[in-house]
Amino acid sequence: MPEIVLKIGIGSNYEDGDIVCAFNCRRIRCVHAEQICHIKTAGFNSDGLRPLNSLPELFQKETYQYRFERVSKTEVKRINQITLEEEILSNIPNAKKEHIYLEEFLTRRKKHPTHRIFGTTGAEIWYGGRSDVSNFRLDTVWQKIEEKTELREVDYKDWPFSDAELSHFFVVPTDDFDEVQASELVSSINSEPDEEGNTTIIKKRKNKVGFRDELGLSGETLGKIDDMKIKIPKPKSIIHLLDNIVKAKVI
Amino acid sequence: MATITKSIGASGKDYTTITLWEADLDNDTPYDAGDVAVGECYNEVYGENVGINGGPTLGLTSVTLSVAAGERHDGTEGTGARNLSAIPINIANDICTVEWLECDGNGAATNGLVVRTYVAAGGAFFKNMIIHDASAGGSCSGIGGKDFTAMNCIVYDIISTLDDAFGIGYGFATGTLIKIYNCTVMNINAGPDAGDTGYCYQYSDNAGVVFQNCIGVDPAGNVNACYSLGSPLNATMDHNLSSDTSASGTGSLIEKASANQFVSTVGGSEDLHLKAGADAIDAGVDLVTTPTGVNIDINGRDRDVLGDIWDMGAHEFVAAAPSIYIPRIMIF
Repeated sequence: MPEIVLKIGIGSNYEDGDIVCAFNCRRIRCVHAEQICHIKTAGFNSDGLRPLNSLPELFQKETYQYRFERVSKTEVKRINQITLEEEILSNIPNAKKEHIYLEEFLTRRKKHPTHRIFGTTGAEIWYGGRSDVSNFRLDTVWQKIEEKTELREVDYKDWPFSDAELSHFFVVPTDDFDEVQASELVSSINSEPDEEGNTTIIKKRKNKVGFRDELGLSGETLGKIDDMKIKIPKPKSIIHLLDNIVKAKVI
Repeated sequence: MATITKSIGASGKDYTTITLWEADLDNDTPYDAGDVAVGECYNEVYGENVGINGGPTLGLTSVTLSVAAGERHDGTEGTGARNLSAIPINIANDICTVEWLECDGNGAATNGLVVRTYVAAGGAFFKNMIIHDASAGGSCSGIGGKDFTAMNCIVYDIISTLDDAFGIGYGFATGTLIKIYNCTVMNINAGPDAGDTGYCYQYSDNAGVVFQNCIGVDPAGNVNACYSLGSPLNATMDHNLSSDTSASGTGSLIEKASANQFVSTVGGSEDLHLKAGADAIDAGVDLVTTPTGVNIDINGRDRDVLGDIWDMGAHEFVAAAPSIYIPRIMIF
């Protein structure tokens, strides 16, 4: 369930009720998918590389711009997974001044304990470039997770807050919101641009929720919140539409 | 005074996000005045626009955003803790250090500025970071701001299609002081229109500005240079390398091609470690241990303890044993 996280009291240049974080459904399903498909879950094959068709490989295949396939001792094929454009790269610079000393590249990569080189020696595969973790991509990722494991996305609907966070911040479930709204919820108030066009942050958050009054909390609960040392339960019963929070309850 | 270290990550850590860790820095639980606050990220993806200015109200001595040992990058993208955001980190206090984090702009078109500082006194420190793939229509930079020190950082692919771009430097307020040691900057592209400037390193010629052991290559734009001022009168500039003629001072190397310096400049697989035979190898000046941390290269190698002859750039080259190539065998 989408959630916003409110500052309790003042500190770190936040004000009471400031919206510190905003997690929408996409962000929540992404963070869980990233954990489930983390490279550390893949293990190694007999070549010391990551196995193909493992969840980490499927995640990267779905979300990264480029797939790289070693094709010889000194050459690698770069495949744009969106346009399917292919190019062979080597230690001889191309028109865009791109070059790669493949052996040196792979030697260093493979030394890293959590390297992301898949396949077999001589036919290494890896992914890179820009990443896309939009809902469209995450649909496929979660489909793969459910095909290959007994894990179900329905069990991963909440942000994985820590005990410290639930003790120190006030978490409010909301209806879903998109990326633009998420960005707006946690936006700051900036100065007018200076002569070089740059701005500085005047106020850390533009939006806040007057949760003490608006959410109808009892005096006893408020005392616990102000203490900040007592873990309060997630107020699951307090569900407000995002529109209410943004338009009506934001001070 | 105590050092309070908190873990940050979605895999059962003290805080799930950098933002929530930072928002708690002025909380008297668990901090006290005089404490040193350290937030340690893990080998995860953090997609955040973080503003760091907490701590001074409570009276913290310093605030460090770092990456836990064993979870750090190996000098190449995608191998450690990564913050994936168009505007990941804004530093606005002078007690802050950010280190070992990868900041990936992911080609975002909103605002490419990746790390910026706003303080005038003391400044912030950036160490052992990888900052890359910022893209914007407006001005765009890797590390920019007032009065900061950057060391052993790698910055590449900072692209502005319609305005200025720079890798490391001041983004505003001319006259500010920056000190840059052993950094590597590549592929800084500004727009094509008159006045669009693309610099690997941009700075004012002020006493106190320092560039030592830096590599800057492949800037582009209507006006471009590896170093914005070729021969400064007041700034300290020596033992730097450029692909054009703008590196000046004792021990500097000019007109050195990136193809002869780095392991890989391939888009999506960049590896700006020095390749065997690079011009930058053993061409730096020994900075010993000042400022603190300057001797630790992008891989965590201690140049001072190991008695290295210093290279230029973020990486200290060490010859590695070659790997064995086994061709793919087709079985019919």
